[in-house]
Amino acid sequence: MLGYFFKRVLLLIPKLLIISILIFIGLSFVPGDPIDHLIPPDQRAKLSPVQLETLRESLGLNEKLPVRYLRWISGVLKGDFGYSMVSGASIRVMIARRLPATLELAFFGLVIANILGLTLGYISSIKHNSIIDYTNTTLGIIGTSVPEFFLGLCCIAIFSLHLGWLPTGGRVAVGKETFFDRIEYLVLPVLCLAIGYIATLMRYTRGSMLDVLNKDYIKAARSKGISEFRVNCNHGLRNALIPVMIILVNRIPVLVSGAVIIENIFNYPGMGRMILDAISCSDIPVVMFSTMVIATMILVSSLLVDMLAALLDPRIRFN
Amino acid sequence: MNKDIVLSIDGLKTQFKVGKRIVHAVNDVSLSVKRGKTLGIVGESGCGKSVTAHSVVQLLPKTGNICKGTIKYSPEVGKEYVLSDYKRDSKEIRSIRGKHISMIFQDPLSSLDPVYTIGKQIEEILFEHEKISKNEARKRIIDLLAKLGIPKPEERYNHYPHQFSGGMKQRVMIAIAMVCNPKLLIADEPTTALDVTIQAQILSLMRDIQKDYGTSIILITHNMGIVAEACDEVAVMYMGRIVEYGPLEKVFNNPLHPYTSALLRSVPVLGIDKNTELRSIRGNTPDGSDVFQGCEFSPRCDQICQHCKDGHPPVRVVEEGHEVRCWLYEGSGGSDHK
Amino acid sequence: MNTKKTIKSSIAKRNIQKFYTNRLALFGLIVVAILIIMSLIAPFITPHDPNYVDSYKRLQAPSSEHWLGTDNAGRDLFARLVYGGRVSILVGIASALGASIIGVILGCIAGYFGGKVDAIILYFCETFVSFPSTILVLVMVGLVGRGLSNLIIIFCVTGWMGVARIVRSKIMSLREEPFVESCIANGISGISIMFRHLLPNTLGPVIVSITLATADFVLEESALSFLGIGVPPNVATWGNIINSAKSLDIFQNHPMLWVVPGLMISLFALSVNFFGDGLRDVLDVRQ
Repeated sequence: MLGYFFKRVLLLIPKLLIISILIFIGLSFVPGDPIDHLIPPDQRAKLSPVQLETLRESLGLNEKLPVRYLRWISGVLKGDFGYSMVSGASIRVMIARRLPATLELAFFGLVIANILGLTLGYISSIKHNSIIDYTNTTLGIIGTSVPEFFLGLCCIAIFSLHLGWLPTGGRVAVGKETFFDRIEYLVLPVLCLAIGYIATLMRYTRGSMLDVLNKDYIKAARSKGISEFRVNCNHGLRNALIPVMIILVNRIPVLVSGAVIIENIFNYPGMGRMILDAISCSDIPVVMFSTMVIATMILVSSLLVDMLAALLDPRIRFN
Repeated sequence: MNKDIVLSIDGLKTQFKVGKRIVHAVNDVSLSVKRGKTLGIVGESGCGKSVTAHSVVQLLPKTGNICKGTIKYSPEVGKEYVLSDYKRDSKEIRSIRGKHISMIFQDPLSSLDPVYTIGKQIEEILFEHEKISKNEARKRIIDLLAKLGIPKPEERYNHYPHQFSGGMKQRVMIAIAMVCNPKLLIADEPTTALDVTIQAQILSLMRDIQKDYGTSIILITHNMGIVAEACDEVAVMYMGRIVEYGPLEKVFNNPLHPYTSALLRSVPVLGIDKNTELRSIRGNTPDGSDVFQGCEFSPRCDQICQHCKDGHPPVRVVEEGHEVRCWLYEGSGGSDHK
Repeated sequence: MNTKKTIKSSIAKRNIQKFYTNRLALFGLIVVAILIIMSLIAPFITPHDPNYVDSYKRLQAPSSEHWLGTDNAGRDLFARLVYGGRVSILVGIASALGASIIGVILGCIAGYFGGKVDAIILYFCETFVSFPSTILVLVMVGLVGRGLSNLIIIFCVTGWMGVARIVRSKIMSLREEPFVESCIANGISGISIMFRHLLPNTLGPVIVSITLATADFVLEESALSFLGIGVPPNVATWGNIINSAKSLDIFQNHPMLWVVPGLMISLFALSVNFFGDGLRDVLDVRQ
């Protein structure tokens, strides 16, 4: 198990390397002088052209590309992300402020989606071809067909504007900062984010369960005299979860994509909105570093789910 | 019920719903298994032999159900359970499954749950039916594994199915089936998926078990050779009906039904004259949903007579304990079964 | 030859029957067909120009002249929906086809040659999949700029992985079949085996995934256009129509302007998904 873990971590490194190179290339697209986003803007304003040239020399900007990359990446590893070209703020500080909000949104979305998706899929497969099953599958297709932003707009129109139950957007009211104050701001975004995920997860769980329930070892388990519920859970769901886990890994990026859209609709101050704002004013350094942080996050969480799958499946663990 | 009999099936009829059609998989099957003896059920695939066995413990898919007939099980003289009265997945039938009547399946590769150690999978059945401590269970399982010829049982106890070979997996399946000392073991094509040498090992293992524990066995197979080797009695099935039924020697030495003789002729025997034709049965097994006017075997039969299209032949007892279902034996001096 | 033909036609007949009995799939097919035909013959359906601004007719209620009313620039909403469908569906279908072509080629190469080639392609595939597509598209739009063809190209480049995986695994399993060996023994070249003997066998799953991808791309286009970074705002698409209804006044007081296009998008995606699911059942594609 530990060996498998290290192997997966090792495989992660070249992926991160590729991403960092892509980010580096993306940054070189920034028009104008790269020094603009490498040092704080107020400091830059004070510098004379001669001082700028020495600084450029010392930052290695006149070196060849590979050397520049190495210098840049070592800076990034130390947390030196440079500065926004628009506001001049430190990108690291910007990300540190926005990341927790996105993590909170994604985490609750994931938790709710998993609970509902797995349960509904399980019920559907147990009651295969019943009315419950048909309703679930039809709702599942509808859930994957309605665009998130439209769902979000409808929710705001109904629950916030018409009924006035929940706030239209934002993360927290001024002066109220505890988690419980934030819950009412989380309900709608989390729900809209989770719907598509629930639908997908439900469909895959159902399919995987139906597949497993046809296996010989299910019949063998029944022949042991254990109860139907235990056959379905301990042998059925336990095995069905393995492919579902793999789907889960593949869908994490989709969840993040959804978060970008949801954050914009609900005016939620997370990474997604930051990226979009940065794109609309061509603040490429902010775009690139936010992307890098998100990609790293996704890779790490994929690794965690992979580990979970390995825990569930001895065949992965031992190979 | 006769005190020598552990299981008796009388007039069993099992049907499946396939879409809107109803398929009669098993039709009017009656048979009995004697204590400590082996009954072979033989026939081509799709003849209803597995369905008959699965009906015994109500282990049918959701689309199938028993619609007629009784299945009686007697673990010991004087005790009797009517299995066909129990509801599917009811507590009563579950307490029979695994504890009194256990099963071995055709494909050991897919019959073991890949995510649990074999120790856990054997334990599961023990904990379900007996009050036993974890240590005791472990000891008993390791003893059983050793007895069944699995080397290093203490180590193997914690191994996963994918770490076993096919023959070893079937031994594990037998361990699961035997751990509660059942009175009846249903082996559904236990050797079909195995290599020939392993087949012989598994068959002799099953014989040893029968000797040691006095377990009765229903052996389902399509292989006449295995029947000859392992069974005391044999029931030949065709299209959901038993066409011939009797003690092994009688059926093999004096096959009455044309289908049985055809099956026996199609088995190659060592030392057979190379010029003797190895005969196959012409035609294919018909679809189970087709409704037949006469005897189901008549389209493929060599000895067809004028009665064959009239209706289903009744069961005839031709000699002591040897029954056949064929028009050829009408009026041949035997007596009516019913 | 004759029997082969009858067998083939009877399978086709059974499949059509199977499809026909699946009412949801049939419903999907009909709705998709209607929406596509409507957008194809748009000029015959509505006399209005979707981009004609008439400041005297702003935010009108539905009338016999303007079936769904007009938007905040006085443009006919129905005309914009029908013409918008043209662009949205075009983006969906073109991207799905383009991405599938890339996917099929890479999947074929990976599956047929195996080994190192396969490992490299699979690794790229995994890296691409582990990236959130919206953010990838956002970044690429940021780099290459907005535009209809840019968007389609970006979709193709970011959406090929699913098909590539399906084709790869299918070809890998087919490669082990004896008929490939007999092809090799008969001296048929690798490329010919790949494209003439193996590829046709993967057609079923590929068709299903093209269908389902069309719905996904239409959804993605509308989301990006809604965010203001998809198709340029002067072109009417379903997403852009909603985008222009973003002001609070319109959002609250003229819900027609965003609800109708939103329903349109949902209906199209839903129908394509129903149709694709039906196809999956008919072609017997396992997930």
